[in-house]
Amino acid sequence: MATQESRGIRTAIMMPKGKNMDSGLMKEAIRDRWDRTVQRYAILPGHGFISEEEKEAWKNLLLEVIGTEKLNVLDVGCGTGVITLLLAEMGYTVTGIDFSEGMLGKAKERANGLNLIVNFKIGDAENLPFEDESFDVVINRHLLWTLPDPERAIFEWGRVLKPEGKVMIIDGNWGNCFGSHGRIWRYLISMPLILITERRNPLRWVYGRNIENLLPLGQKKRPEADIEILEDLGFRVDLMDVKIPKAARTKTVLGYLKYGRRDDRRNFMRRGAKTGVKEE
Amino acid sequence: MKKELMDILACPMCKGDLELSIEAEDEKGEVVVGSLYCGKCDLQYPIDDGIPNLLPPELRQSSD
Repeated sequence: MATQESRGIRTAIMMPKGKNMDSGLMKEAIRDRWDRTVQRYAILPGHGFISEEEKEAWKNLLLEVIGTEKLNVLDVGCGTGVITLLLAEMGYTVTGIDFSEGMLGKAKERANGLNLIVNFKIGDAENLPFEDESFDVVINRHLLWTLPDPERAIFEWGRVLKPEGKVMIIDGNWGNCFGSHGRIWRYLISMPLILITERRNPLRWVYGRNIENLLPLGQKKRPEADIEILEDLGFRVDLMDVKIPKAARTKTVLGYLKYGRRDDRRNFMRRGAKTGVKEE
Repeated sequence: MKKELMDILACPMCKGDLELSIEAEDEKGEVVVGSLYCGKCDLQYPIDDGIPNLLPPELRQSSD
């Protein structure tokens, strides 16, 4: 068993046998995992997008969602700053927060290299170190499913949002119960969102099954589970279509940056979208 | 870390105000080394290399 899996998840988090993993221990394991992975990211150019075309596609999506006003944006779980730096380049005031010091160091290095001003903080997505109503937009990518307590995280994101603020979540169905047919989608509070389908679970190698099985959203049908949480917390979520350029889609690094490898032929099967509004 | 960020920073535990102590600044007046202190929780959050570490104490690495 170890032989077959050890290649794919060579550096996956190994948890002590026979111990129950509490959320703190789980977070620690995940953080250590990213700290150790950061070197792998160093080889990626620029913002971490493979092509200009892909970068432009992301830019257009973000612009469509956030608008041209130079708003205050918080990127939760910003990692090495792929989305963070793009937002900064677009002229938004951006704060990036991540609990991996290693990833943040890389993000800061990139920001400096590109002469971009970003405020980075080491912090926990479920315990944000910000005053209430500090941001216009809270964005995150491939984060929510990794959190031991997604309800608490979304509550916190809502807390730091200004009235009429927007949450944009980009995530997917990575859980085991959906086999290799996980979906990537993004949804936004009060703006369009895209829904992209992936066939495999690109993050399996990252965490390994033992952690994945313990993450609450890893076992739930998504985005339905997320919508339920959002609605319980007073958000309204609707659906709509958003276009992503085909070329950019097939070349996108969604499947590369955090996943470490690509499979163009199988990524991104379907698209869809939804919007939502934070109700006051 | 820019000093004006103090306006939005809060203790991750109680969401109360933090007090800034500066040990080193750069030429732009940004805090490079220092700390943030929450009097209510009696917790100190370090600022290192311009990045404040605002993780709840139980999530901080033992090497901190």
